Amino acid sequence: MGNHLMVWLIRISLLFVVVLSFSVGNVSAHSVIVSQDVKEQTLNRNFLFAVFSMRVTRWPDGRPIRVFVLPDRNPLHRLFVKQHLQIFPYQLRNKWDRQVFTGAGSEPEQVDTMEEMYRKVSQNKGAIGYIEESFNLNLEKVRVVDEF
Amino acid sequence: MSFKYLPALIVSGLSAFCSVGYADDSDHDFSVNGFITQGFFYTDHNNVYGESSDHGSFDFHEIGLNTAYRFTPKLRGAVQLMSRQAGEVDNGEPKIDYALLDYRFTDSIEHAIGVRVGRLKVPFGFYNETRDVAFTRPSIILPQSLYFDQARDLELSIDGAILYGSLSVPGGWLDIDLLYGSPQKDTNVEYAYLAMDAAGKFEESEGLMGRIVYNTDNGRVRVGATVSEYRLGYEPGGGSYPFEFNKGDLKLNVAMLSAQYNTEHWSLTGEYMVHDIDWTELGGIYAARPKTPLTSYYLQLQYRLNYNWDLLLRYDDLMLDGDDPQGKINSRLFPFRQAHNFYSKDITLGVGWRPNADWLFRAELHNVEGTGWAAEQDNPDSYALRKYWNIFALQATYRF
Repeated sequence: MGNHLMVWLIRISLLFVVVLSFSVGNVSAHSVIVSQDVKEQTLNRNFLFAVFSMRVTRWPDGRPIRVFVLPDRNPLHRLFVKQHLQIFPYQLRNKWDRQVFTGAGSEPEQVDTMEEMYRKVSQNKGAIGYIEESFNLNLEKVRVVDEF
Repeated sequence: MSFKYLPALIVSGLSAFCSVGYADDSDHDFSVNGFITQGFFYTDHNNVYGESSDHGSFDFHEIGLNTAYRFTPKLRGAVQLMSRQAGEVDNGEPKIDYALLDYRFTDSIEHAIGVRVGRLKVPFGFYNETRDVAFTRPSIILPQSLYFDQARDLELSIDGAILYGSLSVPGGWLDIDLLYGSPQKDTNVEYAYLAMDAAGKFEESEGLMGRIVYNTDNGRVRVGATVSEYRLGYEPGGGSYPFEFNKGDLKLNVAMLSAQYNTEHWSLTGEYMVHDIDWTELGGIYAARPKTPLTSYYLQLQYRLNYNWDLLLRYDDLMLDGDDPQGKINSRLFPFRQAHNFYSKDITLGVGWRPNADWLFRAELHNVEGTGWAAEQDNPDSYALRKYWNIFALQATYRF
């Protein structure tokens, strides 16, 4: 009897792990997207981090970078920040606030939905943002950049 | 019309004007941000920010409004107006907090280097530049041993130039600021460094400051050092002892170490400062002890339960004279001040609540021994100051 219970417990917990990893995998797959005029084909993580923290404000060709983000509490934003930039969302918020309220810099432009993110990145020059991989992109309007 | 309502009027007027500009999406080079903070303070003894020991004091607000504009990819401009009411220390009169032009020569991951000129925030330690912006500080009252509100005008902004840079180095990056300019100095600075509203005035002054912060592990670890040298020229006003001093320079030297460790839920922060004050040229009552090393430090633990709630525990220690931690020697030399007026030890417990991205509420308790940072302006009778006291504080902030 005890064995039977153990087997069921193991099965249930396995199922749990599978479901959990599936759902995490699903949400965590984002892509970094840029507007078509951006020349860079690949971006390294340090550069991404510097761009999203607004420490670097120009593309290598000298044109200004326009950064778009979802709201601080959006789950996709939080995962993107943690997994791609490898920092915590509160650290990013602190950096932006410090810059905005000392006059040293600005904060990214906020969008509310992925549709809006896609639209803004596709319509603005020098734009960068991120999007869920499952989102149906028109690759003539935005480009997905590779990271290394 | 009194000045009290002027800031609110300016803020509402400007925000109405700016929201019109903001409606145009193509105008992304222009941005507006601001905040309004209201505080409440209750103390069992001694006063902070108004007459807090009677029935509590609402005599505290901070209102800020800033705008920035990108003229070209390399050139930006930014201005912030600030109104701060804080008991008898600040009267709420709107001031230009910063107004600057920022030219960035290079802008890459290896090195982003530029220069800012105008009225600039003073890059001192981790919190000084945004000390009046409630949601950038970890508590209602910043650790007073390092960020004393009494000398705030000196620490607040400076008219001059900053050379700044962010440089890639092994393991992370360095943030560097080098500043030269003329600090703001008004009666509050006299209270802070002369313990009175002196007969004369601080006139011609200059300050040099450098700060370097090493960020590693994507900013999880931050280690910094700040050094500065200020010279405040005192101009006698024809008064007499003990309210008068000789013509000469008050010299201030600051050396400060800062460190912070961040995890998802925890942040541990500590800062240590030695601040040498040299009254030699001024003489007067300070001829008795012309040089003192003001020594202070704090250790602070923050815990973020989730996005909405955070907790704070801090120990903050100030010795106005590091060679005399109990104030015994100084209280003999300056008999109009009690020994506990030369130090402060503050244990702080706080809680913060952010119901959404725009609002922040805080509550905190301070258990304090000593009155080293109790403002003379709010406590005019120094004999009435009590050694042991408690502060209960509430704060509400809205940002836009």
